Amino acid sequence: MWVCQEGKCVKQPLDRDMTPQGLQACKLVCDTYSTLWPRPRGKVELGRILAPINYNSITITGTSGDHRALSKNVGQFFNIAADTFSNQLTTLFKKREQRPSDGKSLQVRVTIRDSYTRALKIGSDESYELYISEADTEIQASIISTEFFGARHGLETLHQLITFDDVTDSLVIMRDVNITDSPAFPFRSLVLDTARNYFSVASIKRTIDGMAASKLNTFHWHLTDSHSFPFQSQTYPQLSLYGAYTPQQIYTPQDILSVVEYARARGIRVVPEFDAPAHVGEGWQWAGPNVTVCVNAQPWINYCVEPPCGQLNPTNDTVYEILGGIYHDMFALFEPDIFHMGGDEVNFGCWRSSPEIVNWMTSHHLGQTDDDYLQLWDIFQKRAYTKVVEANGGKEIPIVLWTSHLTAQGTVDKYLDNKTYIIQIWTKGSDKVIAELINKGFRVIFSNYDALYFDCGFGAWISEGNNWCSPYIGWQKVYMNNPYTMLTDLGVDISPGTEARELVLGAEAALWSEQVDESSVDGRFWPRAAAMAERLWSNPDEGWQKAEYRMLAHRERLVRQGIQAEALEPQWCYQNEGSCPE
Amino acid sequence: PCAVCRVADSLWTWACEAQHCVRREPRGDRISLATCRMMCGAVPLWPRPTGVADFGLQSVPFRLLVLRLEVRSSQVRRLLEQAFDVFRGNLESLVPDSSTEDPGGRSLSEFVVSVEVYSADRDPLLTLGTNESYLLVVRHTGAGKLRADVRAQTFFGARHGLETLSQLVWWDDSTLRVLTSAHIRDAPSFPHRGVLLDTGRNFLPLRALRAAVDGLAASKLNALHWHISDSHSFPFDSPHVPSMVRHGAYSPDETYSTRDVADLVAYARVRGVRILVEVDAPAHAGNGWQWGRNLSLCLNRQPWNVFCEEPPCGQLNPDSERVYSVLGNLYLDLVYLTNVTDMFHVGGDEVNLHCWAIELGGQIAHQELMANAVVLWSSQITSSHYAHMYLEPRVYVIQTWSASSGQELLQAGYRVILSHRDVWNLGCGFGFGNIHGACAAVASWQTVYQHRPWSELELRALVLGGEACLWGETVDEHSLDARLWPRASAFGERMWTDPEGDDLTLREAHGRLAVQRERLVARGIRADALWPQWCDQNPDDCLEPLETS
Repeated sequence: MWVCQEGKCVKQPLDRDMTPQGLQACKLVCDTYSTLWPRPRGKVELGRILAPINYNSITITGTSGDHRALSKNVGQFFNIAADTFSNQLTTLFKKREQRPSDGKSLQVRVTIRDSYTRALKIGSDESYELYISEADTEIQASIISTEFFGARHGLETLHQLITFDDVTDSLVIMRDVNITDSPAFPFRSLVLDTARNYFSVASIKRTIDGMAASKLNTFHWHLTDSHSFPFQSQTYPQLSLYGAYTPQQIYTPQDILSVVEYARARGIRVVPEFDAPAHVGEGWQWAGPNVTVCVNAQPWINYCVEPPCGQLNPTNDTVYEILGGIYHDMFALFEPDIFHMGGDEVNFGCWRSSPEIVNWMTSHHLGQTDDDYLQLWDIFQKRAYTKVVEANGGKEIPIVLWTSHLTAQGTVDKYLDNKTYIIQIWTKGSDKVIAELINKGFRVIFSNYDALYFDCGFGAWISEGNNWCSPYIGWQKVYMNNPYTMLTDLGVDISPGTEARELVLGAEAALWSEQVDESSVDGRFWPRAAAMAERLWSNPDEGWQKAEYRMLAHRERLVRQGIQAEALEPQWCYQNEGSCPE
Repeated sequence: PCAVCRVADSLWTWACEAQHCVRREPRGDRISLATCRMMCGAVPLWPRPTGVADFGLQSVPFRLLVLRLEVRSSQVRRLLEQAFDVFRGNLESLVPDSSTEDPGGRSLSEFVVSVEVYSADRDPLLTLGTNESYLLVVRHTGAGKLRADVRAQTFFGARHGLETLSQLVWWDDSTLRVLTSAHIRDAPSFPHRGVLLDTGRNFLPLRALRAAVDGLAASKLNALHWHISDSHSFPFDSPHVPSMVRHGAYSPDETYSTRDVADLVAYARVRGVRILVEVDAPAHAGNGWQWGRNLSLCLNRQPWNVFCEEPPCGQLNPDSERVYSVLGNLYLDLVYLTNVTDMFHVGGDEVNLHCWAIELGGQIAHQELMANAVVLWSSQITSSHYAHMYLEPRVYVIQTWSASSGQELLQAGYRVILSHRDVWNLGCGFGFGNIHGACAAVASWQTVYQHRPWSELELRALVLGGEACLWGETVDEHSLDARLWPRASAFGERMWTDPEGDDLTLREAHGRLAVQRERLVARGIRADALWPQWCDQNPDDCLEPLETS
């Protein structure tokens, strides 16, 4: 049995004079924030008393603010959230016959004031309140939120306050709970690259499960790259016909729709990326000469950062026609509130290798310097953006671009407009350009590679030694990667109320897939992505040390839900809190 | 709505040009990538055979049901039948779930696998002296008839022959296909080719250990060094000392019964692998020993960094007669269960002098077992200053885990097993203590593969082999596969084939290892990806350009 002493669960021999308690139950009452992950940011009152509940007697009802039924749209999501909640409870006991029927019934009442909004956008209200109290015959839990997303988060929190006590063989819930909660950052995201290697829809949905369990809210889908084109376009089906690794390794419109709906029901938006004008190659072979340039060119090192090379030809009109079709197909399926246009790692050597481009430059009074090619890129970006707006029914839409030459120091406001463009930072957290971006009024997303590139540390796949961004990044470093601290260190005033603070949308952990496919994707993301999730949701003042035991508990929770998360420490450390300081 | 939804066949075909598969738009008959890779350049066997390996340029489709085993050595009939079932299962795993076999016309009507083992031993056990060589001949014996002859001194050689034969078979879009002519003579470069797994830090269920054995078998590794306990936990339910598991297991579900151990031993034997269990002592022994007074000292003591290398601390009490009798009983259980009698691992690493002074060692193991190879981790006691005072070279084998070469030990006449931790510790680089010095970086498969310490060592004959070690601090069953594979496969070829360590050899290995990784995934092992799939399809375009001199 385990006893809570000074905030730590301590293993002890069974003692007849004490009410015995298993490790899970002890962890639920012992830590300041129970085993909640991410920990709530507002009021947290926990009764620290566990009440047994009857698994067979749990009811979940949802109503709108004026006590009416939820709209059909939100009601459908609500039902999925309620089912997910119930299914998660069954993962708490290993064997079916353990399903405990002693204890009180549990009544969960969910109130969603705005019962119509079903898609997340910047500015969505993700907050919720959660109350748990004990009545004569039942435990009552009530969740109140403005929009569906908050209610879903509330159910996630409620689930985390229930566990199976294997010493008393009972399903127990924390009593007397009063929580108000909302995220610190509106954009909490993962990016998965499904072009270097293919990932099945099942593995993508599993990733989304982990995100939902950790209250992340954005799945950025890097669908294509120079390596492959698995997105099946209805306008140009040749793209995946030529560009998919095999005919089976594609994402059909049905696949995409099922992922987008699956994510929405879990409070997650899917942001599609069509990376251009670099990172393009496979799939475009049919489009005719000079649409793409330097495709698979060798020696690749002269034309791109990794094989295979390939870039769009910005001077060719066919490029924009095809882009328009791709954007159109993507908008129809994803209905995005933010679109990602990539824009990283353009190699001017590639463009310079094309006589057609060189001639075009000359006839348009441009030279051959990097500055001239930056202008060419700018022309591409503006023309491509008009195609995006067309695809969006003529409406403007926020665009994310990676940091690049285009966003370099002294350059960014020359080419990009801060109303439209959100800049995703992938350089180090100490890069001075970050301060400049903020000072020039750009909204930013942090994906600083020194803390958020989860592919770092493995072998250099095309040569010996380790990859460029080694070493492997431990969860502690991910946890401590605080956007506000980085900006403060760069001399930016981000005190509450400043415009600078509002410009920081959040962060995104990246999994570039050169050395990972669905066989090991879970272990690369989890539990490290959850460490980022608490940074972005709770943004705690304390260091990772205070979060260690909750982190271990959350990792176990992810595993229970079918995610093959990595182990962080010997199990002995999980059972002997406070005995394994690094 | 979608005009060309899922189509069955790829647009692309592959052509063999200058010994390399090159992707092309099709003209005439399509050749799949899988077929091209088997027929073009070196046949992608892993590990590469060390002797003659000649192949014909023809292949033929066949159905699984035409496969037949012919046992020519009744003394090991049962083992051969089991090994054949494994072989057959490996072929079956190549057929995608979504497909059914459709070999079309001109497929084989008969595919006989004939196995002959010369040794009369009816109950063969793998030892350091086992002859693991084999001869494999594949040939047509008439229209539609194929025959594969496997000849070996021992069952274990025959098993390796079947593994090689399974690698001559591939899935070609709609059917299994096999090379119709092959002549291979093969034998390993080292007798001890091991992987260490640690179930003391984190528990690994039996299914995870079996999957690891599957991976070992696929790369002709022959020893699973099972570091079964540590100071953290003691999951082995010893019949002689039942108190150990009661006090030492993480939970009653996280234990190994004698049945579990025996099952794993049998499972591994059929796959050419032996199980070498280590109950580490005198250090790395703590939880599990609480049941007796003063059996383990400094148990869970804090501050741990004074008393041990990592928490929790615990070392056996060398003054306690009881400790020796308990160890003796545990050893008896393990020898009985594993049937390993020529070799025994007694642990012996990281003895902390602040806990108590040197001694103990493995005399007891030697006395109890009469093994002629008692394996001991390198430590203070194996250093050149002390080794000869305590350790008899005819008895003790030293497993070196430091980053140094081991030359001193060889010169002192010790046999060694090499596990240099800067390259062959697969647990390095993932945090939790493993962040400094020699263990700071993840060893890539290339690093694992290129390491060839004996090329600089004298007295190579005393090198029994090596082990890739996966210590368990940051791994349990959920990421075990990806930590091990394909890096341990790379290690497997280093130990079996021991190819030259030059860049051209490494370059050549990329494509073959990628094929081996696909075999592992097909067999249900969730191995890490080596590179983008694009590189499988365009193998020569993915590597650093060759320097032309």
